[in-house]
Amino acid sequence: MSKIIVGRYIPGHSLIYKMDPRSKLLVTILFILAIFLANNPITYAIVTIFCFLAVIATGLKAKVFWDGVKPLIGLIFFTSLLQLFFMTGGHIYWHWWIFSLSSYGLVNAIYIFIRFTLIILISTVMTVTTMPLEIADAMEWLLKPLKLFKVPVDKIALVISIALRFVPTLFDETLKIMNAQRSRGADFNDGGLIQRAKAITPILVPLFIHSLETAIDLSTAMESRGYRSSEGRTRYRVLSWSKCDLIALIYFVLLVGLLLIFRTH
Amino acid sequence: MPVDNAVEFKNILFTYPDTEKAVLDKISFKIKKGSWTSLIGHNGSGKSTISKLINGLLLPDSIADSKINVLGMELNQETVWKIREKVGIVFQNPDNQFVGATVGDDVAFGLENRAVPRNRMVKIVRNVLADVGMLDYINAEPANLSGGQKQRVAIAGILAVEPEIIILDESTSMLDPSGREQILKIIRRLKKEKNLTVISITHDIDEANMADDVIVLNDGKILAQGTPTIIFDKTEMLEKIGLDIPFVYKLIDKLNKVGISVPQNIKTKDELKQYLCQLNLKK
Repeated sequence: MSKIIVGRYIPGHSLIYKMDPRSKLLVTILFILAIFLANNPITYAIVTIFCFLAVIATGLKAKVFWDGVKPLIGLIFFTSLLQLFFMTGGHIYWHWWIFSLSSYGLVNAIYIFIRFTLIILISTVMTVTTMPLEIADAMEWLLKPLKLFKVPVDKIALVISIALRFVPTLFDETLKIMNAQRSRGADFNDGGLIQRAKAITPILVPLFIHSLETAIDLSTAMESRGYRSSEGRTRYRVLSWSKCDLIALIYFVLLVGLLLIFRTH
Repeated sequence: MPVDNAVEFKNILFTYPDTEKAVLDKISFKIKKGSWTSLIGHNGSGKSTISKLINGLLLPDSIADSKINVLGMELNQETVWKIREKVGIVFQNPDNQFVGATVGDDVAFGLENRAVPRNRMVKIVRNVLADVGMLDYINAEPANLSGGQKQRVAIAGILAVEPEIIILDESTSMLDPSGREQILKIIRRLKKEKNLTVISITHDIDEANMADDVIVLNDGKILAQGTPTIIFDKTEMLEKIGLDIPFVYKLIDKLNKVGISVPQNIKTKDELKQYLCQLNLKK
């Protein structure tokens, strides 16, 4: 249980894993934007194929991606149904009160469905192949221009990396506290919603105190190891571009090119 | 001018904010360069406060009539960062001093703070991890390490910045006996190789017995300072303040009380064993 990690990183060795987290994050964001370029069956087919090729390139099992889509499937269907019954235009097949089933609505519902699914799939490709820490590094790089506006990007990055590092530690501590309270007769699994919520208080209070103590200890340790401010520090962990990033870039440019050619103007 | 003392406290008074009683009550002591000094005393006797005063994490109440001197530098606002570069502290809780996301990152933390160029940093990290036998774990995450391994990483992180003084602030108290022994073995070897001064704050009386010098603290005052032989001979004094004494000293004390007078020069388990065997032969 203690090996819990934030996000859903799954170790692997395929081409996508060798990509720099920065280009992964960037291409993912741009890919999501590119999905909105599609506006007819051909372009939707193109972007779907590109997305599935990326999914296949991870070399992971289909279940991983299904797990990514599953929690949001209700939302996807709900949005699609709204489109289906409220959109009017084109040929109307059925009409009742404010609801109508039109050809426009039908096509749009399908588009929305595809769009949603693709966005989730492509972001799953990134989150399962990139460690949370790498994502944090990539985000720091993306946020660097904000330094011009005096945003303490280095400090934020350090805070995020420490937060990520302490997730398993605090999780262990939570288990310890839960066991300690159980041995005193606390019951976390029975009772109604309110009772269960109440049972959480004896976990949260000690956990809160513990994390404050940890923070004090950690800041003492950091200071005694010469931490003064985030500026003027060098970096041990560096990111480097590789050939894989070039491949990803070409792949993306190809996608955008095809979309621009085939979309209805 | 060569400096003989690694640390020198003169007349130090320290009170924590919002408390009345002083934790350290005008204490003065010297710690020799290159020595292994153990600080013993109960919880709340001011041991850990001393370690935090040495590298300026805490400041004494008044600087008018008191002085802290570390490696020939007087501790003040200007020298505090220089002194911190020379003094490394290994704290008690292995988790709460692990800053980096991986072993390598954590060891590099002190180097990053000192703006060491990356190519040198990578080399140093590998070297010091090899020194503490943790090189195989360079990419491991702290959640997958044992307490002893985390403390070894903490030591590596301190070695990386080449300090002259290492303070062990109850660093082994949360470890199992084998983990504790390993850490002490590593420190002993490194002390010899790199000519370090070790200040060990400890409850482990056997560890204190192996030190060059022992300082006994009680209620914010220094009760005694001297070699383990001198200190642990004062059985009554130590028992009065509720401190344990090493097994050999306890046994010698008991033997003396029942009328078997053990010679003064016998201080180790083996010597005592030999003496007792011969004692039987003589009878």
